[in-house]
Amino acid sequence: MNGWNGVLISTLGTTSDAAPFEVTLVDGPEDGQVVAQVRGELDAAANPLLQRSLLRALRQAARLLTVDLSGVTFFGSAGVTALVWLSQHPEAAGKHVRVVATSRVVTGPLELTGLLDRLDVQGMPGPAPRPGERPAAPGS
Amino acid sequence: MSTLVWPSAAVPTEDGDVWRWELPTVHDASRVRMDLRARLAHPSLASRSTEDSREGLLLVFEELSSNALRHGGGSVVALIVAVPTGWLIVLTDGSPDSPPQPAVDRDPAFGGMGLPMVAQLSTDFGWCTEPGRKHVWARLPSGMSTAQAVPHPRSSSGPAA
Repeated sequence: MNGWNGVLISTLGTTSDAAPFEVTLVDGPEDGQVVAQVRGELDAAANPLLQRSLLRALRQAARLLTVDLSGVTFFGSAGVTALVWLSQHPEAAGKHVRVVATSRVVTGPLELTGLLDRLDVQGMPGPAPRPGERPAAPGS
Repeated sequence: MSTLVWPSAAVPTEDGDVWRWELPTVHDASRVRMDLRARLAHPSLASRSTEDSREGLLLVFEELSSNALRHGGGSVVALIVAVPTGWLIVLTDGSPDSPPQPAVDRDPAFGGMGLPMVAQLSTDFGWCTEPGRKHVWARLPSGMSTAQAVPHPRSSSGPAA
């Protein structure tokens, strides 16, 4: 999703006393589609504003919202929770929410929380572990 | 995961370098976590652990600190002890009567995923209380083999008087 050629809709960042993250909304590539490019640290401090930002993105997207997490540098359970909350939100009815996760920083917590089956995630390297399966020890 | 129990167990006694932070708000927890990342990546320390294990420690710090601030309160303190095999992390808050409660069949849209994540990243975990205080702890691996992690036996000698 890097080098996206769509139309920039808006950029929303956090205030100085919060964890730094930024959501940039880009139109396209087809009608009714919006890409939310998320960068920075998604943690408990970021969560209230992250949820508001994602809901705003969802309202811009008539059919498909793609949440691109390629630029995320930290992804705690609050970030996973925000994605599940968004995909289950009443305003998501009749729309589709897709998540792009390419870095281990993001795919690790998605696997650890066992919530991959609740989300449409693309870009995951390798097969996801079965629910309840212990992942390999870190570093092995 | 639905059977996860957070056991009642005393904080293990570990000798090592100790880092301690007071965390008044979740914003302080964010700031401290980013400071912790920079410290762990310092060349003098980075060779003692794998990148995956350091990311694991940052995640555990995030989950235990946000739980302590959200469900515990009081003055929240984070403690990390660096030991040859990895780290011991302890989060202390002012709510001894509210034990850690891993989510069981809770809608994940409302959170509760933190402790199951911590359990999977840790080799050992538990909680205990003292009057007015609760400690939630976890032990994490460095990701290095023991031979690499403890190159010199003298490093296990006791602290200087």
